[in-house]
Amino acid sequence: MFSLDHIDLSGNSINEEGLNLFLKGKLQTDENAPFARGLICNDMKDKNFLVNNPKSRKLDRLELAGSFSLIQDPSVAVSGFSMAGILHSGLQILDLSNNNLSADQITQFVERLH
Amino acid sequence: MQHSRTLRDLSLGGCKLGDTLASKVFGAWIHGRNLARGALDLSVNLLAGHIFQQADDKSEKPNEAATCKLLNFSGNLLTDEAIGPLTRLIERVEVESLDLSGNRLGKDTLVWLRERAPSVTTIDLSGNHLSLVKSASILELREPGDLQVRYTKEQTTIKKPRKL
Repeated sequence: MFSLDHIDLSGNSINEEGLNLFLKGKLQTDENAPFARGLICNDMKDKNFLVNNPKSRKLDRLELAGSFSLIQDPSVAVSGFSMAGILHSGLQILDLSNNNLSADQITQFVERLH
Repeated sequence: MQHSRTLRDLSLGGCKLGDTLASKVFGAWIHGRNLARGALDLSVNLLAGHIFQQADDKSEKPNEAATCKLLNFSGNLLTDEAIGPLTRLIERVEVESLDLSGNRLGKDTLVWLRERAPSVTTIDLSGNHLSLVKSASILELREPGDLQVRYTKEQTTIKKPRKL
């Protein structure tokens, strides 16, 4: 059973180890279930960890919006991942606003939507 | 191959998308069979006018359950010329709310929306170029029980109750 609908971790300097706690469900009894259905990590410096993590496929809400103040920094761009990895059958809400998405990534994404 | 079947809300606002890429996203949103359409946010991009024309693939029928709660195109560069193709798409896909605030829209947009957007109940046109429109043109939209128009210098919102 999920204990939370979603959890908002935006604006924190949470690292991979911290995110793993949420993704692997180690904070609750069922280790196979994520801590919450939705994970909101807007403005997170490294989004690729979440995007590429297979555990993210258990989420139905994923918000990884960037910000205008950070968008000029290439390190906060959502880069180096395939859109095929982010869309899965259970995902209902996806927020990638204010990120630097390449034309290839958008094209891949559109192909998955069809 | 696993497909997305439940994606409901998609936000790609502020991603510097031009007409070509945005039209691919919008076209997939309208025609895609693996979606549960809720809200599509393409606000604060670089949409100038061809997005809806390119997305309107007449050879492809929209999903039968093609309703959409919210389309957000606020903060782009849309002019009146873009609204004709948009309303043709809206005729085929029921849209409940349409956010066109912060664009470059004028009188012709009001005409298009009045005549060809029957499913839309709320339209946000704040921050456009409607100040150039004579007040009479806006008042033409007021029909008892059909349209409610609120117009101030800063904000223009049209609310149209859903017909039973």
